[in-house]
Amino acid sequence: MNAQARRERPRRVVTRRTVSWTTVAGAVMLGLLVGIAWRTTNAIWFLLFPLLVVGALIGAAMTVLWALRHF
Amino acid sequence: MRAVEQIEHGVEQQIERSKVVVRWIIAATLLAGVVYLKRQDAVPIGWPSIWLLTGAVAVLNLLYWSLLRRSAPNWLKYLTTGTDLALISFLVGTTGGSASVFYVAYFVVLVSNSIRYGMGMALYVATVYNVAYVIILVVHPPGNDLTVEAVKILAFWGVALYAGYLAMRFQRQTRVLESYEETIARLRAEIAALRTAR
Repeated sequence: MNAQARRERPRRVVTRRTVSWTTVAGAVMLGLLVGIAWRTTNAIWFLLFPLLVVGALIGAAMTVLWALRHF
Repeated sequence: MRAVEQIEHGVEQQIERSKVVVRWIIAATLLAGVVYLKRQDAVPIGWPSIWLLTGAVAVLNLLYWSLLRRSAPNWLKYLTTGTDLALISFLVGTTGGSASVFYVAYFVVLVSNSIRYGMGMALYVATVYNVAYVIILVVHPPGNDLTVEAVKILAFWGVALYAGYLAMRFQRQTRVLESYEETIARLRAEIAALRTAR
């Protein structure tokens, strides 16, 4: 990409740092979700599912939207 | 803006009224199913629980109907959906817990409400179901391996998110169509005004 094209490119409103952290948090939540579903012997752990599902989804959505240059 | 809110309010009242009618039909169907299975000794539920559940549905439905004669408050849709899920959880809990044949009734509440109200309601239904089902699993433990139950909960979340997404798309298309209709009406009015000016 040449210098002029780089200058004309719209400035991103969400920083790479924020997206990186969200992606990592989403991946950790997905890992926890699978781990709990696979290994738990106490149903109380399933109460974390709403948080983990929504968290993993937000992480994935932000990563995909960042990759598609939506922000 | 006020006019739009009033229209949305009227639509919500209509939706909740239709839910009351559907609730009578589903409650009657479930009652018939429970009574039949009870007579066959296929479900462990007692007669007092059956009549308690039927009475609760009838009283709540009459209460909602009387509320809806005047208006539909914003919180009513969450209350009706929450009580529906609570009653289904009671039915599932008393007819075998995770092995209950009435487990599928959760999906009726999920799909019907998600399509009517969108993604927000789909997430609400999935969260309430998640909590209610965990209570059922704690009261009636199915054994040490809970992987099957986890998959059931996650499958429910999958259906909720997909139904919510489809409802969101449908709502967006409806709004686009409405804006087209408004544009056409405005252009017609402008053409009519130009004709009368000549």
